[in-house]
Amino acid sequence: MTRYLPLVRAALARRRARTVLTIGSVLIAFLLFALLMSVRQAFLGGIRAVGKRILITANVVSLVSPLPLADRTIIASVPGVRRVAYEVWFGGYYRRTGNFIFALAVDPPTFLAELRGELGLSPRARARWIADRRGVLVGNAIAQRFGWRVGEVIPLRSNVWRRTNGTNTWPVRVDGILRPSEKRYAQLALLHYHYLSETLAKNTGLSGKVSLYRVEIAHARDAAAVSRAIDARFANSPDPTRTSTARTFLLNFLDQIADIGTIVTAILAAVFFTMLLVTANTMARSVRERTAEFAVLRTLGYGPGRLFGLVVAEAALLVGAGAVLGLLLGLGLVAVLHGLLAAILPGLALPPSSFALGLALVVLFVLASSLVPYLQITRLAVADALRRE
Amino acid sequence: MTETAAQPSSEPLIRLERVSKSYRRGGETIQVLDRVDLAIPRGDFLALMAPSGSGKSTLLNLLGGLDRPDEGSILFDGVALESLGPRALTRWRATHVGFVFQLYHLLPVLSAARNVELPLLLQRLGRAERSRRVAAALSLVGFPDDRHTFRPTELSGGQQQRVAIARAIVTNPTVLLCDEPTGDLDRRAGDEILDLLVELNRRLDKTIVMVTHDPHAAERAHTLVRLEKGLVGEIRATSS
Repeated sequence: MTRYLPLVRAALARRRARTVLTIGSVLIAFLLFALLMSVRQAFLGGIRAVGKRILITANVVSLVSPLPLADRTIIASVPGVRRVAYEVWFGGYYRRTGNFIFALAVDPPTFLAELRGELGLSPRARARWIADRRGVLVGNAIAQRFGWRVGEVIPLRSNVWRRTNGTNTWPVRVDGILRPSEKRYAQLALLHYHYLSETLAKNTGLSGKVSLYRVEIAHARDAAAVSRAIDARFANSPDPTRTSTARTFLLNFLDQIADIGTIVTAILAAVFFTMLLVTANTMARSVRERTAEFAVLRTLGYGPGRLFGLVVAEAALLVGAGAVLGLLLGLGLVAVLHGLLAAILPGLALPPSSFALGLALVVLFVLASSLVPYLQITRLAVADALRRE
Repeated sequence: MTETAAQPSSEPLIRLERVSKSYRRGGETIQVLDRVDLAIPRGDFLALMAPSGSGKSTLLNLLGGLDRPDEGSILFDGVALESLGPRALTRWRATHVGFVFQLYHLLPVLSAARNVELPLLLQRLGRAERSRRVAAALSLVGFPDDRHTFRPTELSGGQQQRVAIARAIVTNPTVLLCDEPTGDLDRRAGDEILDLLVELNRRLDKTIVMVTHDPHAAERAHTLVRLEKGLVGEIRATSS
């Protein structure tokens, strides 16, 4: 088939400006595709990685309303529950609010037991942190960003809580650096829950309370039943709960901000539909302008199928070039943005599945934009076309 | 492309049997060809003359399998063209027919050599073999070696027609169908093209059917056929 390549290239070179502009429009569409897929990945990618055996129990009213720490024992007694961890949202930052840190105050033994090997923590650092109530574990991305080292004391600030001394600063010692395989943990900072709760101002309402429980269950298939059982235990309590899988919890949480998936899909649909119109119009015009040439090729023995193949090859080169350039540019841009937005969107990255989806879109658009040319070619009256020239 | 002495054989290569063709224009039916009978011997050089609108281009298109008759039969070497399906007809055309047009119909984005190569792309030939055949065809039509990479717009009319003829003969077809091949050329360039067609007929035994308005051009053929109102009015041997 490569023998037809000069013919295809020459056809595209026929109107260079139009070809370049069409490739440019495809490039922009695929650049946007890469960026939006990366944003989608940043928001939803972590959710897919969440273990299926983790449930989240939170106050039915809202995440802002805490739950009593005493609920932990009750939850742990529900059949099917293996382990119960809890956490408080710390709302951390370093020196100024712009240096946001995703910090949680947790119960170290249960939290570490639940995540086990996922945090990339050495046994020595683990033991050191568990024994140090003022200790903190930080993800390698944060440590690198602020130049923190193990043993260093950091004045970690909270934009949510105040201490009994009236400040919002908790001095914490770096006991270990997390070197996780998943990017979302690289931005994490973990404090001792008891250090936080003991030093909190009395009027915070968090005394003896937690933001939510992370419940590890024995079998993923029991998630619905265990969730119902937990919520039933607290149905008539002052703090009724809502339990869901971690995945559902995170999706619901994100939905409160925006339906990222729908927004991304809607924008991409609009962009690609416009791109399809541009490409289809380019191909249709190109074939119409070359009606006589196609007629000549028919006299030379080119059948309609072969001519259609040439048009498809032209469309593939047009869309393919734009798609490859757009995705490569997107890949570079995402890498730059990842460095700039690491604290806000730690998971910002172009997922490998985007390339497969991009390829599928290329095939779809090549075929769709070749549809009108196909009709033009199959309806070509050779004798008339030659006479018109 | 083997060279043989041109001797029109008695067995016709192409036979038209009561071929009719009409078109509808507006609400009117125009009978372009009306039960035409014609036999074209192998190796003949036949000129087809007729006033405008008398069906000569239609006849050429029917002979080349670009159009189908409403009635009648066209037999090419014993094969009825109307019996061939679209794919078979396309293959038959690629094998047996070379077209030459008045306006050359070269692809403007391709060089002279690439234009000549076009029919060869349909055959399973290596690049080297294609280049060899292209060079041979261009040499045969007297196209200058140093202009193979020139695009049609960089060539004179006569040179473009030589390239078009090279493209028509590069696959060594049985018959050349020429539609006013000198119609867009001045007398000198036209004569050179006619010399070339005569040469191809004589040396390569190509059967040539040439539509022309020009009596001077028609006299270079062996046989002259006049069409009048969709009918064959006259068939005679020329002085050539």
